[in-house]
Amino acid sequence: MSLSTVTPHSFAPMSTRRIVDCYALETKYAFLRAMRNPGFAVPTLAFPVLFYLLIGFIFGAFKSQDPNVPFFLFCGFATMAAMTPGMFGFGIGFALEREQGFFRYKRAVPMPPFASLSASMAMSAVSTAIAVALMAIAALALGAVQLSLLQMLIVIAIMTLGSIPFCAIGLWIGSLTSGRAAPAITNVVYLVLLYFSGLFIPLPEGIRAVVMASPAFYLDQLALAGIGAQNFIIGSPLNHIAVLLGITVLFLGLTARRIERVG
Amino acid sequence: MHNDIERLHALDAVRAGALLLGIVLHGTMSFMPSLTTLGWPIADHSPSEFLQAAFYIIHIFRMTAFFVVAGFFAHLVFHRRGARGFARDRAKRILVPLVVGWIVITPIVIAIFVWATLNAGRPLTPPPAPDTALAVPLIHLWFLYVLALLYVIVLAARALILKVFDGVALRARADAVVGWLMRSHLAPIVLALPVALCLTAWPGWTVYQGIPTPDQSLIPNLPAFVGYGVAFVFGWLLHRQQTLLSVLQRAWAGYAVGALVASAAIIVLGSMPLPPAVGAVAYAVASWIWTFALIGAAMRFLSAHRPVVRYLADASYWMYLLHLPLIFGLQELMSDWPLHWSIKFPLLMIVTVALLLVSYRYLVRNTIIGETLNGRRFDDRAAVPAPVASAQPTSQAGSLASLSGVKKRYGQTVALDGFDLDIQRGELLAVLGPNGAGKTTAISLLLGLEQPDAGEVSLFGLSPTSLVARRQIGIMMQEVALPPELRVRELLHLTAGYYATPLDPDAAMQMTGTTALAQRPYGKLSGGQKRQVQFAMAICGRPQLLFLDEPTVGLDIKARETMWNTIRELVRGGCSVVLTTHYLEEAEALADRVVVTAKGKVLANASVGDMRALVSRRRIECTTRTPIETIRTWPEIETVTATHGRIVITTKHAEAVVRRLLQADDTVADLEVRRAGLSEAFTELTQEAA
Repeated sequence: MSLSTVTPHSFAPMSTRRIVDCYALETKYAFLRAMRNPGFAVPTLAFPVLFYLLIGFIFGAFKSQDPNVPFFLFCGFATMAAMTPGMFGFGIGFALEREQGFFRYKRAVPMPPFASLSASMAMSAVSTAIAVALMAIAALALGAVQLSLLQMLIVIAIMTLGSIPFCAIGLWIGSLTSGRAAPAITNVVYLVLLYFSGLFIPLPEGIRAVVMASPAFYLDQLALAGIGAQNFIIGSPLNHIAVLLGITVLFLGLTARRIERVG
Repeated sequence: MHNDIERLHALDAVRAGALLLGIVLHGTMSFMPSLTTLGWPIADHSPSEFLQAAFYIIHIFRMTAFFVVAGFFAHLVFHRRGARGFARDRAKRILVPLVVGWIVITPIVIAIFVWATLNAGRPLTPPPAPDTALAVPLIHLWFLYVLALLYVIVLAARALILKVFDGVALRARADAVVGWLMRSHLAPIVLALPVALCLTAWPGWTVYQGIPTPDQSLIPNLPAFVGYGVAFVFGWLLHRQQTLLSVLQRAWAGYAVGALVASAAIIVLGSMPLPPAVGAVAYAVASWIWTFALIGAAMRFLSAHRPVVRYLADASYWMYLLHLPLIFGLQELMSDWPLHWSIKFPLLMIVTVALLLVSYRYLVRNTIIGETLNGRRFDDRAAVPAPVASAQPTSQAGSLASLSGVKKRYGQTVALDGFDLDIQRGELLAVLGPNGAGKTTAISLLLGLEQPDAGEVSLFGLSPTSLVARRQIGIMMQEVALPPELRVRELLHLTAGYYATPLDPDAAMQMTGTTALAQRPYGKLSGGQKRQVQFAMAICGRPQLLFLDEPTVGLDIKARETMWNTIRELVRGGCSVVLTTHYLEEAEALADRVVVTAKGKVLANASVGDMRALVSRRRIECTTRTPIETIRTWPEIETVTATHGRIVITTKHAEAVVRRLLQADDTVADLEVRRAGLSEAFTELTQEAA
């Protein structure tokens, strides 16, 4: 039988094993693509640890008397690490895929539904985990922050899951913008969310309440609560989780609606 | 105008030079005794009067030259793209870098100052609030802000002036004045007067201070605004008469000597107790002489395309935007090193420029950042051009896929209007039709990408959105950018994973002649190679039905033959193919059946042979004395026309008509009989529809 002969049994359903493989392969290649793209990999993996060290040394935060200050700094940059891959990977990546026909192609081929989406989300989560782990290694090596290994793992876990709402936001941006506009718009939204989250720079008294509008604030709070940084905790973790879940659902819904209408 | 382009090279170089000199300028700051003794936080242990003088001299002309070129290019872009295009272009290339750059860079620069202050063991006190309104530390990005401001003001003023005055007369007057000033070489003095006045009136002005940098507030200081505004408007007007550039080109040497003399004079005058007006006039004139010298020299030496200069010019914007934190950080880092400034300063420059160039090469040049800053992306990943089209099936018993009575409209446009198509097992169906005939829509419906407004779509007896149905099909789309980072084998591996009983990626590559590309990243392939890889991806799932949309566009003859042979082999193996193509010879060579579409309907649906017969008429052309009215009465004739003295007859019985023509007139000449090919059949059918 030649390779070009059509097989008669091809209507047989695919085995669960092959479907799982399909998701795994999609994830593997999503990750490979990201790592081979320095424009994505460097900002995602290296920037958080670099900025963390830079700011930590400059402001002497590592030597602060109050152990909560290093906690605050660590969680702040870990939050930044969780925002980056989702927002940029999806915001720019999805806009380009839509514009350049790849999204259309993916919908036409028999890819399991959500394989691509879940693969990209997994990629963002893994990238976040690596970026935060790099920060943790640097912090431990320098003795910059008084965290146990368990606390570090808690932060990594929170951030890994916490990257998902930002994937949803990125996805929505990507579904709205053209490939050309996406980088600019994503950057602006990213910076606005970062700045108005009060992560690094305490906002002036008058507009402090603005932080409530930034998802980054809730993720940061969740991490601070996770390691028990007393002075900086606002609100209950359950509340933060609910908000982050709500954001994820909201933006995935908005994206689905948008795609249904526009494609 | 033949060397228009060359002239732009020269001015591009001037702009790049002004920006890159900024790196040198800021690099000297930590070595300047006059600055560090005043409390500038980054102070090197090896101060230098020489570098201080270099700072003063660069500061004389750098931004004036920059704004002249900026005005020049602004006029160019404005008139090439119109007001809207101009606004869009400037928003992208000036406003976005300003906002994003400011948000990113300002905190870093402030952090470095804090670091330097702490290192120096000084108390960390916030700087005194500037006594201006709308105080914002614009850092070195002020030039973008002022540019944006000038665009708005100049365009508004232009609109206003043109409303009040007669545009033609005014332009002629302006051109005459500028021309006269340039040719008489009085321009440096006249252009210098406004800024000289402002400098004289500026409280506490000293010669070394030069034009005060407007980086403290959203309201630029008066001397800077007037000085750079004049430069901008001058550049704007200069673009109206580019021949004036040759005046500068011829006089470049004179201006260069003048610039050197003026620089020396500024250094000397600065240390003398003179009335401010003298220094101000000298300074302003010097800045214009320098500007003219630079533009003239660039016209003389840098008009031709030089790859290195071009590359630097492209890189300069990014380098300038990013250099400040790098320079300040390195200055602070090096400040304690026990080395002489003559070693430190070059080292500082080399490290800074190297880092900036590397970052430009890898983060900017062929990324979206580069596209934003330079208006284009240097990229060889060219997209495959051409519109999307596709194939189509109708619904009959035993068909693999069908559309029956399908209607689809987009807003007011009717894409499909009662469309029927079916695809039988093992046949190769070619779908032909002009652009907009509905091919793409039909295929999109069959692929489940869209839903019909009316009618039925079936794929293997199921809905096309069903995964089971879609596992039976392979797809080669016309316009699709696949992930450039993945290698060819990886793409095939990934795609094969979607199917139940796929081919091994190696087998798929072998069948499509892409084995040699296995390890190549997709993004590095040529357009033709990409098509071959897409073909391999389409067949790697062993589909029963293959959708090929313009598969051979961009292929060389050999690759096309390979693809044709593989397609034939697949069809022999029982695979059905829906082929959309603009190459009629491709349809003729491959297809069993042809469907011709136009205006959302199927016009003809037949085998290639039948299609020819369907349009079996032949054209007879000749010159003859037989009157056209006589010919029209013959029975077999369908149409007769006379064009350019020749008779053109269409008929289904060419032999009989020719016999009769020759009988009637033995002087018949230039006889020509043509049989319709698929091409004629296609043209004829679609023309009839139109």
